[in-house]
Amino acid sequence: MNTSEPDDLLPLTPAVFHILLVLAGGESHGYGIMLEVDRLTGGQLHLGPGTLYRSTAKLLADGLIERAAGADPADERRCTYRITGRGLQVVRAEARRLDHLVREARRRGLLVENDAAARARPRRSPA
Amino acid sequence: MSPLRAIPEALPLITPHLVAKDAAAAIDFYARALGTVEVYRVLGPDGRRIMFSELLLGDSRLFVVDEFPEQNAFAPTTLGGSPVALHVYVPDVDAAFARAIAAGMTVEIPVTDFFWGERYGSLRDPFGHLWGLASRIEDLSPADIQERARAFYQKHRA
Repeated sequence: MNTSEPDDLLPLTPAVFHILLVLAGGESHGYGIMLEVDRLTGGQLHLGPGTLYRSTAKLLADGLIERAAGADPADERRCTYRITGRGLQVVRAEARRLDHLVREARRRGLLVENDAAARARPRRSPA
Repeated sequence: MSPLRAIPEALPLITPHLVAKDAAAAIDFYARALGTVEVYRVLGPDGRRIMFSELLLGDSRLFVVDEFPEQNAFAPTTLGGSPVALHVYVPDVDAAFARAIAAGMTVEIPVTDFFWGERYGSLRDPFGHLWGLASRIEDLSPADIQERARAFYQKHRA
């Protein structure tokens, strides 16, 4: 089941991308992941226990994360997770995909500082 | 903190909710036949019957529960059939079909290249649920499919 190419798993859901993003920085338990996702999204994305449980189950099944050594699989809340080599490949592939999209959006004038700047800048069609 | 979303983030919009006589056996069976992964199960008040369970199948999910006649939840084996088939796309339909048969599913339609652009076959599982397994072989427009359907039934009428 885990033999597919990293690109086959893209795009990732926001919950899965954020969990991998956090674990790319080091191992963490579920509650720690939740707090870090709250922090890095300014509360825009809050992973409740149900979402966290479902998302980690999917990530474990796909081999993108693993339970850290010594973790008690019966106690999911205190379980510590760590990203796998394959998980790192997938989160990098997703980051590249998003980076490309954002660069395209900027090139097309969609990422101006504010509305006034948008009005001040005449629209040009891409040459 | 963002408000709780009415639609759970990690769930697809539609999740088939299957009733099975002996849901625990069905959960084991789907793991062998289809490669599902159990996410969790919740037991009913009798501590025996499965009231909720969630299985992963790729990006999709299945809920598999026991019969609860007191809540009008009956398995297809009790009802004498199922009007719903679960259509599953797989990378290699022949391999997936062989695996399903080896686990104990019975063939309804053998794997065939079909006019709608899929290599497809269908099966019935021991719990009475129907499955279609398919791999896409052509990318066709609805008009192409309509035309192919016309030709197919003309040819097979004779």
